[in-house]
Amino acid sequence: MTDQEITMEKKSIFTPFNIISAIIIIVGLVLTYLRFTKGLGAVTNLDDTNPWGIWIGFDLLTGVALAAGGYVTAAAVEIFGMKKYHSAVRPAILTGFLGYSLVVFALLYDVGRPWRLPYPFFISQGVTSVMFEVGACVALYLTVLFLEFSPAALEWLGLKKLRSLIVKLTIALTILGVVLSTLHQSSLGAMFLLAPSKLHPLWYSPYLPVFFFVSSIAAGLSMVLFEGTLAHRHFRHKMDEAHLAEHDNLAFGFGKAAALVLAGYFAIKIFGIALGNNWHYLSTPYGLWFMLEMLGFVLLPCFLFAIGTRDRNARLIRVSAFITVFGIFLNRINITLIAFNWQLPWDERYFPSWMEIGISVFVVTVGLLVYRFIVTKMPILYEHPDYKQEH
Amino acid sequence: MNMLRLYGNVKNYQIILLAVCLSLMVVFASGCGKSDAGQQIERADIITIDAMTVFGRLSRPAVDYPHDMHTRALKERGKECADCHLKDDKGVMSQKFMRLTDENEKTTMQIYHDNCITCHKELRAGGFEVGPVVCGNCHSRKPEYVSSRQPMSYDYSLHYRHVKANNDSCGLCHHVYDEQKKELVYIKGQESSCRDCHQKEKIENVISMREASHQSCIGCHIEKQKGFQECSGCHDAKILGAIERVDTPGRIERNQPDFTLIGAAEKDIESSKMNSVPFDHKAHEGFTNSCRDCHHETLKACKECHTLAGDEVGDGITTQRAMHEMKSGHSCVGCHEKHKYDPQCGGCHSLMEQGRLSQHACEICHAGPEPEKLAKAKGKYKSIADFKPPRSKTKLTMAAKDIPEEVTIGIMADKYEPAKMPHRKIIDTLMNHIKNSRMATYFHGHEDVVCQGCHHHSPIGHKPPLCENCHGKPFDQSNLQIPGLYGAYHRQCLGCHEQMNIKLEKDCEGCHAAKQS
Amino acid sequence: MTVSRRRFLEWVAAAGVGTAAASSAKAAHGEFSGYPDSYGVLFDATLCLGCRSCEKACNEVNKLPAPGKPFTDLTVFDEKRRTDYRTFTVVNRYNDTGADKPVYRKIQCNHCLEPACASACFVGAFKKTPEGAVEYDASVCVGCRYCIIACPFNIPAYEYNEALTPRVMKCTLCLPRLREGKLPGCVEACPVEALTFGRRKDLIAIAHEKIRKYPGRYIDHIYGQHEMGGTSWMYLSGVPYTKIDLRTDLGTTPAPEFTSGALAMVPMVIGLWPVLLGGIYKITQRKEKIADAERRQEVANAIAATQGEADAKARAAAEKFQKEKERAVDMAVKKALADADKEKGKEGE
Repeated sequence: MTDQEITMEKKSIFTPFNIISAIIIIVGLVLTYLRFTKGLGAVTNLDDTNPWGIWIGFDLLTGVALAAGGYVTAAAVEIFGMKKYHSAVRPAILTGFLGYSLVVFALLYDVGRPWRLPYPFFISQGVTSVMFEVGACVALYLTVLFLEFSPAALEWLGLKKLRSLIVKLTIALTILGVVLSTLHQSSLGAMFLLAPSKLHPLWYSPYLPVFFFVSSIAAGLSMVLFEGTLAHRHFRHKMDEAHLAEHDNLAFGFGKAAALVLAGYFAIKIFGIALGNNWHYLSTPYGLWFMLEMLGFVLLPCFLFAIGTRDRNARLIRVSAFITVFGIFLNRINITLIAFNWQLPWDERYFPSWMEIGISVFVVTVGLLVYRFIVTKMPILYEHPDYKQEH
Repeated sequence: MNMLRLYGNVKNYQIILLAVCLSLMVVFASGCGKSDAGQQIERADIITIDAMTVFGRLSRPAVDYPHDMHTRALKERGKECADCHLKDDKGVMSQKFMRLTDENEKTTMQIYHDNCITCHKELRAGGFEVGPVVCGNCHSRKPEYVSSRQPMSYDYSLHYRHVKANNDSCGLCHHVYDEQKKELVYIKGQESSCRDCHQKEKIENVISMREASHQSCIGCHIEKQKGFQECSGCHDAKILGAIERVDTPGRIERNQPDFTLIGAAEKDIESSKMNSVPFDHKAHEGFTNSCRDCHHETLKACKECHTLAGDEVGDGITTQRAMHEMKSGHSCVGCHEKHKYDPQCGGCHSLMEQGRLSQHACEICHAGPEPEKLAKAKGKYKSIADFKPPRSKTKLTMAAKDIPEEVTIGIMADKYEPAKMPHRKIIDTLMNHIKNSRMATYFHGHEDVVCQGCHHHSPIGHKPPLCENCHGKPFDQSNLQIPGLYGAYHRQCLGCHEQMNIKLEKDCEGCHAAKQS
Repeated sequence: MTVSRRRFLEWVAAAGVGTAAASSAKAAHGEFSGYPDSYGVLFDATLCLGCRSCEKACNEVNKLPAPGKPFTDLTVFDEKRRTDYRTFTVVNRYNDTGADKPVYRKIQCNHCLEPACASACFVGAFKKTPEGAVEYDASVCVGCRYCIIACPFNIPAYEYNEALTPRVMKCTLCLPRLREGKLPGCVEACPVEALTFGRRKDLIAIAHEKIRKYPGRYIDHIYGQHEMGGTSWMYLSGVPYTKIDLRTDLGTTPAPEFTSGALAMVPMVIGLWPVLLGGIYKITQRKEKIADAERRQEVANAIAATQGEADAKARAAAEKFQKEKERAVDMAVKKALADADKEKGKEGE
């Protein structure tokens, strides 16, 4: 895009995207009003047997899994020393930071009394609860992500001293980020350990925490690639040389890693079935659904990643990344909604109301808008000229 | 995205490999386990073909074979029993398939495979819907059918029908083995149940009950072309239940006593201390379905096997246990116990602790002469009427004037008016039931006994304690067994109504009207 | 070995969090068979008439809103009900149990000995009280509804229609009444005392006694004695428990044990991950340093080599130049001498 075209575009704010997001924002605000004046029952299809819906399944669980790109990329670059992916760190951290912020934002809708969210930390600690640990780790990690993101904002604001101070903490923050991520990614899976009688045996396993953690790595890698693909299409003009040059190499590197991680994830899922001797469930309708998730959204992208890496086919890798991202979404939705309460008759099961979907879309749209603002204003996709020498 | 380019970079063999792996997984998974939804059809004619077990461990699952299905199908094609069940030189039909003996593993297996599979294949070629031809569909781990076979037994009614149909010729079925002549002969007066000799498994040269009954019963049915020839005729629950019954079958004459005194054998007189029990054998024949209800192994007297101290022959069961075992339908007490929970009796008895005999119960039965006097007493008593139990039969209940007509229960009246209980009416109803039952009459033979149904755990007499004397506040922690008064009333009254199927008209208001305020 | 301040602080932090998580994990691994004198209730399904007096009493005692259909309406039995935001207990009728008459079962919180809800709650809103009741504290509840996910009996309900003060609603075992020495509302109301109230250990003895006295009447199993680690509310039945909607596949593991393993891993991760990652970072750094040094060495070698070459070249050129110079000098001298000789010869004539 030429500068002229950019200038021309800037003139008209009535782009299709803007119009649609404006509508979504307005609807979202109305729904927010309804949610907090009429209660959850008026806005959701939740009931006493199905207390968690897509706000937990999608916004929370999928959101957290997909925001894992932050710690994965930071770890790859800072701890494992893969400096060539350096240009991917800031976008990944931004995705992570925004992702977790949106998770907390969505949580404000789902929880009955969101103003009491600080209670578990300051008033009454329920330390037997896995969710306590999730909450603590997410809160701390959000702080870590904020700190990791802040240099970009500080560069934009021109606060050099503060910025260099925070940059010095990078390695410590990265390690802390991996520790916290391991803990809360796995604990989101561990939360469902408490309901063996409600979760289908093909998805329930004592290994749930491990499954969630390993799949979050694959999710993070894929989400970075996916986000990169989208950014490339819409914010190319913001990208600097380094970013553009590394675009394909990032795909090859992360693709290789993702292939390995997905292969490992597939293997441990098989072991999980073996542990529970649950083979006979595979020939039931739920079994077929499980195999679709495993074969179509874990094994297939694993192969596609491998082939793409070997053949240097970046496009195939990006397609595979998209499949993986959807697969993670499918896995989390399966565990929270589809394979949960599987023994109940269909008329007692849950399906989201349009208002719930509306809020979820609203949350994602807010995220996209904030992302757009940050990416266009702050040195995420490019290096700030003042700090070029420091990288 | 450009799909052509996508596949262009993926080598053909890789796609094929992927597809093969995926299909293998699907096949493996679906074949590996059982489907959760899989109904097994119940049939009464299922025979498990495990003939090869005589040769050792089976390498394939046994085959569940629906016999009636095949009988009918073969009949349509002009075949009959003898086509599969060969007759030996004595003309006795073998129950084995297409053979008289099991020669060896190979030939036996071949007999089945050659006959079954060949026939199935032929018919299938002819376009008919037939059974399996593939190994795994007969030798299935999860067979389509499951057996619902009921065991068959004779009762007086069915026996009578057979007797009449064959003009009283007992020898048709009944026989004993003559050691000298080494053959089966009929001896009048020694008839007994088939199962006395023919046990579950073949013992030496005494064939099993299964073989004997099929040989004898089915053989005769085929010969006379009367009676069931199909498995389901004797073994299907519904058909069994629909067998025509004779209400008053004639008595089987087998020199049994009309009345006897049950006491110890001569040799045990020294060790026996209990009075003998007068026993109306004739009357009890009317209360049972067949002799085997009591004479469950042989027609001999109980004490012959169940000796005083217990004997190996009687499985170590002493006379005491044989007569008093609560859980057995063969023992006197056990059978009586069962009847306590019939609807007419259950109102009181279901609320009482089960499985206990009270202290006075002994003398109710042991009312005969002492063991030493038994020998002399043998000829003296001819029927139960000759023998007067110590309890008066006539006074089954108190005089009407001593039974309050109506009892007003108002101690807890709160949301409802006091309950007006039709006390005498209840007693009268119970007495009717008792009078219609010989057993009840005998065992309730005292005027205060019936009162104990409600006035329980208290001294027998004309002035029983009030309910509230024992039932107070609920959940007394020192004795949680006793319900509180509120619970006690409702449990007793409603429990009795429940057991005796006496419906209350208006729920709560059927007993006490609601207070108007 | 010297310990840096940062290192020491990290250890203390790890130890602190680890102890907190580990001690809770330890408590969950230990065995808890209930407070010694805690109360419970024994429900006898063979006695229940389905009169709904218990439902009515519960509604009155807890001042709950009026239900859709009055408590005298027995048509509610035509469908299976569950507890909800205004109903702490319901009675369901079961027709196909194999018994000759319908069997009724009362559903309410089972007040487990090791409750799943208490284990799940991240603000500790549920407490197992010494009296036996599992008590809910609405003053700290955040409304995450994890307790509802956790409960294997599907008991807690939520006030979804409350915008600002939604609460979890469930049977309280009438704890306030218990503390006043009164009976729970439902227990008091039952006309046939199908609900027996007493100390849990006494109730178990009573239940065994009943089974012994009326062997034909009861299934020989007290439901709740061991299920999910034991509950305070137990059941006796004459028909298989699955026929009256009591799941027999829940196992005897108390709920907290399902997650205590995962929680116990937390201190391990906190302790070991920094070591692992820090180690990898150090290794990476070292590798980079070595690679750097090697590279520098290479460059230096290359420079030295080139330099050497250049020097040699220069020397060779210098030598060559020198040689040429000498030869030129030689030649010049020779020429000069020859010229001089020539000159001399010319002069001599």
